[in-house]
Amino acid sequence: MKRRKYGVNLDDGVPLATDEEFRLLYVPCNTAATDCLRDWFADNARGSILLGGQIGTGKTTVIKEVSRSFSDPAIISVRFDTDPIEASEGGYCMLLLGRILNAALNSGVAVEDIGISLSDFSSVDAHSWRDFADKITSRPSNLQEAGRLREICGIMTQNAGLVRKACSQLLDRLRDRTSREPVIVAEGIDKFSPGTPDYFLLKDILTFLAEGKTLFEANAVHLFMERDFPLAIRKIFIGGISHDMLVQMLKKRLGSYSPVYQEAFSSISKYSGGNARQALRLLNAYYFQRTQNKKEHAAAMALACRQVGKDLLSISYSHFPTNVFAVVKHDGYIEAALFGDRKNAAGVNDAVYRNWLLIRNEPASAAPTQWPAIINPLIDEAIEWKTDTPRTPEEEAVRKWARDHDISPVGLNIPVNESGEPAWSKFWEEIDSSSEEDTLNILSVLKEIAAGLFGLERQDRIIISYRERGNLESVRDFLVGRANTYSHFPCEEIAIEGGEGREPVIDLLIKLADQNPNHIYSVELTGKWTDAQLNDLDRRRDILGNLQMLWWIQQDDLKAYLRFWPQLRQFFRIYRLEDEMWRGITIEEIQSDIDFIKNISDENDPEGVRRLLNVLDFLKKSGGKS
Amino acid sequence: MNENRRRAIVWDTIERIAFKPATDDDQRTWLGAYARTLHTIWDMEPAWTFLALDDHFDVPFLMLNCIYSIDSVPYSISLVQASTTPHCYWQNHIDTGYLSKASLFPASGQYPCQQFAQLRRDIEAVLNGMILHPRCHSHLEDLGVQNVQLDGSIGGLSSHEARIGGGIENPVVLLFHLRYQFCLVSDQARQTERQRLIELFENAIRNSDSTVNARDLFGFQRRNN
Repeated sequence: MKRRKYGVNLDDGVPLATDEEFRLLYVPCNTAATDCLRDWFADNARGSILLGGQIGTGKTTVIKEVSRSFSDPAIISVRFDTDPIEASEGGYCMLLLGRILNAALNSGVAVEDIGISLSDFSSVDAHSWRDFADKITSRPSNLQEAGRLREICGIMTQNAGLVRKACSQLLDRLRDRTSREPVIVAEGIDKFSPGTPDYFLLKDILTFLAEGKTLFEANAVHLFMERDFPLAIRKIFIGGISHDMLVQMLKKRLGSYSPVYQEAFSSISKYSGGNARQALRLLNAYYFQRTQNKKEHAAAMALACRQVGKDLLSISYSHFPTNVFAVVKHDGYIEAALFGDRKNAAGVNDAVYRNWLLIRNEPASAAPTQWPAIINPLIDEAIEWKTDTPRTPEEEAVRKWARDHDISPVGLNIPVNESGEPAWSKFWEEIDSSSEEDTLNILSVLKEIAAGLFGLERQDRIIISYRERGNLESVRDFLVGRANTYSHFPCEEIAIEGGEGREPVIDLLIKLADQNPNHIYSVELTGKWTDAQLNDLDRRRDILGNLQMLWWIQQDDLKAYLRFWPQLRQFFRIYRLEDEMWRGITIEEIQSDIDFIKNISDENDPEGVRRLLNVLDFLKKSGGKS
Repeated sequence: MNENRRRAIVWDTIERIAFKPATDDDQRTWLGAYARTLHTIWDMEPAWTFLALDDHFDVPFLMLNCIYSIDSVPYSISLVQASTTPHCYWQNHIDTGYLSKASLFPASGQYPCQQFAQLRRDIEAVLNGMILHPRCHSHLEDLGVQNVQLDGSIGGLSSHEARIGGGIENPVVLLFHLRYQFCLVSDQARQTERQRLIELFENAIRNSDSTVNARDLFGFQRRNN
């Protein structure tokens, strides 16, 4: 993604990728982890690493920072979240085999006589091992191709042991050829929540990979899964970022303008709980409130907390481990044993996996089982704890503004009972009811999403929910048309239907096969998606990469879907359209936009003009202002 | 031709070809491109900005609101504090019903092509006087605007570097001038814009172009994918 050299570079916390991004925006928050990984990459000895951190702590950025200085052909990167054609043992085996085959062939390793042959997988019609490796690691371009790949997955599921053995042989030959222990970077394990069927299907592969030299990108909860990884595996924990580092990060994001907004740094640091993505999203929302809505500091901060809390955290959830929350609040740590405890494990794992609880650091040597932890401040701040330390005047000002304006999640003042436990049901009720009122007309949505929609320097992913579908095509054409008054932004229209017997995620993969970061992707989700389809989409959130996306989802459907999307929602901002959505839009303004594009563009038939003519037509038919 | 005459020609030529949108449609296009590129020169995030002939825009990092009226004479442009109790720092009226010395003798003739070697330096001098550093100017703090120092470690400038020209008679030039003056994000960004304008006008004058369209004037990029 192209970035601004001197000015503002905000986004919703996507990992850094390019050299330019690292040069402008990287802050070495996790030096111990990066040093450790650098040494590990350089070292030729066997031994795997489990790199664990909660969502948004910067694991992917750490791996990128380290791996970009190693361009060894013996480093094999496997993305288990986005790249398997299906979530099955065969799907994972196929991907791994394909990647290892590619690396072996690139290094001139003989790949015959590995216990499997091309004729075992005749349905892909590969004329060589190279062709086979390419085919099984590429995204399908149509459903037929996807079907053929799934057939191979089926065969591999039945012969998973043989496939792993073949992988093992290839890795041995690669080691002999390159005189170097092959390194596998197993990315995306962090998207598999422990206890889910998909994670279960991945376990044998994890065990196999752990025997070699593999770096696992995992969630913090995986560090506690003693049975899934060898006891001797080296564990690196990425925890909360210190206040000073967070401030450096915020400064870099604001570029030259950082002194103007520096009063927000301490609050953002506090409300982020040390989580990098939460801090970046708070900064993004705060900056928007200050610059676009012209809010004063306290108001901007309260509104930013609400937006980020709503997007990242809020759902009604029956497994919310209220007892654990009270203990963490009281003790300031979480006992490692709770992650495996029969009574509490599900709730604790969920709370950590979904960032309701934030683990700050590794345990001190004096108390090796006690992991310093806090309740996510965006939840914690809503509660009037009896034992809280006094707040600073600035924190009080933010809370007061939030209280006066009935804003969650800060300032709700949910009371605690005599045993010190808050009324959690009331908490979720308040969060839910406040978001009910949070509807916007199209102009307000446009204002909220303009930075990504009109900009060449950032791409955002936006969910727009609606009550009645009505003429959504006109809404889309309005947003895309206006974007085209800023630059040439072609729009790809994608409709994905979920439900039993359908393959919506494969369908999406196919439709996103040729990604163009300069396009706008309008994706409408229809049908009743199954739990498995929602989980699959959640895990593959990174296929959306850095694309500018507008997703359209009916509001009741969205409410049901959100609890399946702890990962996906990390990269989305959510807005709800009000019923009177066209309020404030006039025919004259649309005509003026059309004239502007015609005058400024040298294209024959500019996309923006076509889109806005549709809007004009719709407005005229619906009586001027609709 | 002596330097002063050459520069007078350059001055009038630049103003004529880039800063006198002829029709209502031209004016709207000019303002449309102006509105949609403010964020580019200030190196900020884009926002939805629509500007009519009488309108206003924010300069958020200076807590300023620029209010202008260029629909009819007298034109006016004001800098107002962006707050719930706005305070006007500065207001400029341009009443073209009255004379100024500059309005008396528009330079005549074309730039002498045998002296094209001097053209770049002439354009630099003219752009300085017209837009980048007008002879008569006030610094923002002189107007009572609170001083803002952007991050100097990456080239950010102080609001002292914003010079508000006092004698600019063409309201369109004045708007363009403000756009540049509020570019405080870095000195390098200013230099880049300066070089861009010099090259733009050098090409236009060498080619005897009759207009510099809004798209080129504002560096309005329409990517082709």
